[in-house]
Amino acid sequence: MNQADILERLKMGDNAVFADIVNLWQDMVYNTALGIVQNEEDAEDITQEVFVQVYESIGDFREEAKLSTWLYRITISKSLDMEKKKQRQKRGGLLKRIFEPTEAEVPVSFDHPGVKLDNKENAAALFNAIRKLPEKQRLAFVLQKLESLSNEEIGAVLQMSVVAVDSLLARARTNLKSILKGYYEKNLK
Amino acid sequence: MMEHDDIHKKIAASLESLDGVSRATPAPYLLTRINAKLNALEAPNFWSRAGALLSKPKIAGIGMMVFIVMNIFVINSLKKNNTPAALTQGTTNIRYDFAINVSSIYDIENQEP
Repeated sequence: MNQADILERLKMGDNAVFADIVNLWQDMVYNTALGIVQNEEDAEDITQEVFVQVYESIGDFREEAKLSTWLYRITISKSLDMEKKKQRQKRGGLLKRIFEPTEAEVPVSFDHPGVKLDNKENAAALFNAIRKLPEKQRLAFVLQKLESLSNEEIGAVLQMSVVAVDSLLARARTNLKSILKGYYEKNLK
Repeated sequence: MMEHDDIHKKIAASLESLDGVSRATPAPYLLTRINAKLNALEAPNFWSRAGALLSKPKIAGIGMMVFIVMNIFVINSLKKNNTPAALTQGTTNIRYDFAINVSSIYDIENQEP
């Protein structure tokens, strides 16, 4: 079944096709969301929300893009929304902490389940550095590293040219090196 | 110097740590949870239905008109009853109802010798 058939049947409310879409793309959506929000529970919620939106707004999908590209865009948008929500909650929490001081907060270390065992420590440092990147650089880097997308595919998802993606990734690498340098200078001593 | 080299090695190792990473997978029965979410969205409860009904412009407009007409009616009926005689009558009634024996200048004047 090609994309046009899938969309046609999905628009007609065929639940079997919807189940196929979920089964086919759930790992892709979850893995992307996890790379961005770096929290398994949030990534799970985002994955559910993405497919609910697919079900509800399949009629709005313009067939000029690939279905997977559309899914990546929804996932990114939902993940960034989730981050903003968390930041708002954190700001509220900050006020709370001023009035009710508790024990010091420990920096969160993220452990991606797909990383090989001997790379876990280095990957945790890298994920920590990724969190500090500017938004577009972070998204491009996550799509390249975790989803193995080509620069052309990243460009289609982020709606930018391949040259812009090249430059974005180069800047992301430079920034990551600098962040990691600072981190290891503090922690290797 | 040794430390500097170590840091560079660690940076390189970190940047390569995601090479060959496998995809993370969500917890099982994701489809069931999505379907449950969709069903919950499709079956709104009493309050959401009532809210949706009241937020319709026609219903809201009619509700507002009824509210304004009722207010005008109440104000008019109060104006009609708001004469000094009616007020005195009301006060006297209250006085008798609660058996309040208030002495006033009129009481002194009307005292019998």
